[in-house]
Amino acid sequence: MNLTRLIRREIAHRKINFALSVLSVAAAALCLIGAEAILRSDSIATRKILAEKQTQTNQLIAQKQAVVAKAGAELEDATRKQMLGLGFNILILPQGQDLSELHLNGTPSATMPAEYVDRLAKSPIVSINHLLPSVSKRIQWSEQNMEVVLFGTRGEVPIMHQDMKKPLLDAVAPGQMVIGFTVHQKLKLKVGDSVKCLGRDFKISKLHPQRGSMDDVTVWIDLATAQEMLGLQNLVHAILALECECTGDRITQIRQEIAGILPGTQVIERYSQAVTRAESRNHAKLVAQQALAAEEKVAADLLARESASRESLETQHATMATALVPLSILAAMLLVGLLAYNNANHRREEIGILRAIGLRASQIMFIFLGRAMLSGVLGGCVGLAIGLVLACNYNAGADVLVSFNDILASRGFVWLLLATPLVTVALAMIASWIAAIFAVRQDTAAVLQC
Amino acid sequence: MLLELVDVWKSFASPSGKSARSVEALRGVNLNLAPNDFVAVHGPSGCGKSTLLLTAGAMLRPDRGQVIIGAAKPYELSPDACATLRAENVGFVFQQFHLVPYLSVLDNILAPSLATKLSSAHQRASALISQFGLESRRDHVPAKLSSGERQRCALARALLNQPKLLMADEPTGNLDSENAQIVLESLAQFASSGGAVLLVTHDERASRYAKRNFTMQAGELAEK
Repeated sequence: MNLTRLIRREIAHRKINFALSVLSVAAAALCLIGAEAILRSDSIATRKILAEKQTQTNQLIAQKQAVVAKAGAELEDATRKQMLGLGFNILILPQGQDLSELHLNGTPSATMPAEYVDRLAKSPIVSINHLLPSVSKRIQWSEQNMEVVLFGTRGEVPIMHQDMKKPLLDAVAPGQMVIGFTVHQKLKLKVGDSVKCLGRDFKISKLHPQRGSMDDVTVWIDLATAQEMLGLQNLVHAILALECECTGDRITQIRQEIAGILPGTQVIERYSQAVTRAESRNHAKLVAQQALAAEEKVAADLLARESASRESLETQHATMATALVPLSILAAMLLVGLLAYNNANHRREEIGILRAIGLRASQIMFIFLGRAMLSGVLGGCVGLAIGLVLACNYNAGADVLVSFNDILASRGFVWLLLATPLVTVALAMIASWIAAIFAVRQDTAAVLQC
Repeated sequence: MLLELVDVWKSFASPSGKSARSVEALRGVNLNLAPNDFVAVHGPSGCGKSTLLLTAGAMLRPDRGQVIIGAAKPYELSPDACATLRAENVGFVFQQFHLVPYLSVLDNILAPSLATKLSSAHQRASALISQFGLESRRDHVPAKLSSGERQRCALARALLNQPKLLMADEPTGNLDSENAQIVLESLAQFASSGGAVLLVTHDERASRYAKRNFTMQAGELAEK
């Protein structure tokens, strides 16, 4: 016979009282574990949701960047080509070229060495992107009985120190001819037709649409053929520099650079549209960047809204837990205390005789607190088990974000699980303390005299 | 002496609480119990018999006077030392039996060993079960026992720690004559084996077994 056996026998005798104590403790443990599991689940879910959204956003932004980059490139290309029709940027002419003649006749007459083009291409100049050497002359196309401008040009001369750029103008192959709008309209020419010009045979490779400029009465052939036809071997009338980065006062700098490389030349800004073209290209880039920035802002706003929504949910749950857990623990303690008091009151006679046969006060305390400890352990374990089952199923459903293992792996949760039975034991013993004191202090003689 | 009561006085407040007068349950009681003594105290209800028993048994502190158990003065000891003194020296039997309801006969008889850590408690309990004819009831709880069996169980419990003193408060009050006789014979046997018995009772049959008989009237004890 020992006190533990006595406690066990008493518990078996008063099952309902003990079961209610266990359930009260279990409810408190359940609230504690459940609330903690829900809060941790919320936190993990938030991290996962936001990470997933961030990934989706990054992918979306990457896609948008690709789309914007492509669209920007297309827009830039389209802009560049559209602006090309408006004219060239820089015209490099021999120093002796009379500009009045150029403007009155539309074609220059002074020449300069064709090797100037190569010299310029090999130079470290950075403000010019495309070089087009040309010869041009107003001629009588005797075979067609029509006055036209014969324009000899070659493919763009690559600038040696720069990356290869996409050519703005396609070169005219030897033996081929490109015809301006008025000419092919008047002569009813079409692509593939063969024509003779100043005794040489050409096949028409392209017909230009109407440009409303001197181009409409121009025919283009390759530079070498034109030089031969016009008796200008190794000479050119002009070098056309395209896409000069010549906004603002940069034209002055370009002139200085070219004068240092090609002495005896003059540089004119051929058309004011050059600035417009550069601005347009910059604008196209800006529009693309703004579109991308707008997409990024929308994505960031979405993320911020999601984050705020999750934060609000977490705050609600935390507030609920802050109120519920202490309340449930207090309620459980109160109930356990009342049940313990009821138990002690029912056992007055028993306690009286135990004191009469010599049990010490500490032994009586042990009988009551041992019982409370058992209810704490059992209640803690039952509450823990139910809490874990609920925690496992809290996120059950089609869109499971947080598994039980996630919660279990969160920092400190295992320690909380281990500590819960200790907490519930302490809770039950503290709640039963008054009842145990009541049992110890009762008047044995008075009980036994009844 | 196993028990000495020297000029013991004990009073209680009026039960109604309204009267300033107190009820004097013991008035200058003197009593000695030596080994082999069997003292029976007779008297009407409310005369102070139970108060005498509880005071002598170190459970109810007197207002005045001395109670000495062996050589010890229990009311001058600490509560735990007093409990130990009681466990080692005094056995109690009550009219209401006061068995622990959820313990079997065996466990009830073994209960005093909780206080003394008697090494041979189990063997002694078995011997007492046999002595009191409770073998077939060994594992039964008190609710399954007859009154006689309950009182025999209570008596066996009182004897487990081999006390020097046995104090019995109306032990035959709820028993038929056959069981009453068994109980009284057991008390007499305990006295004859070297112990001392203090019995308070209405039962006149007890006079035949007691060596000394006293009457109690209004808190005063007088030998017959």
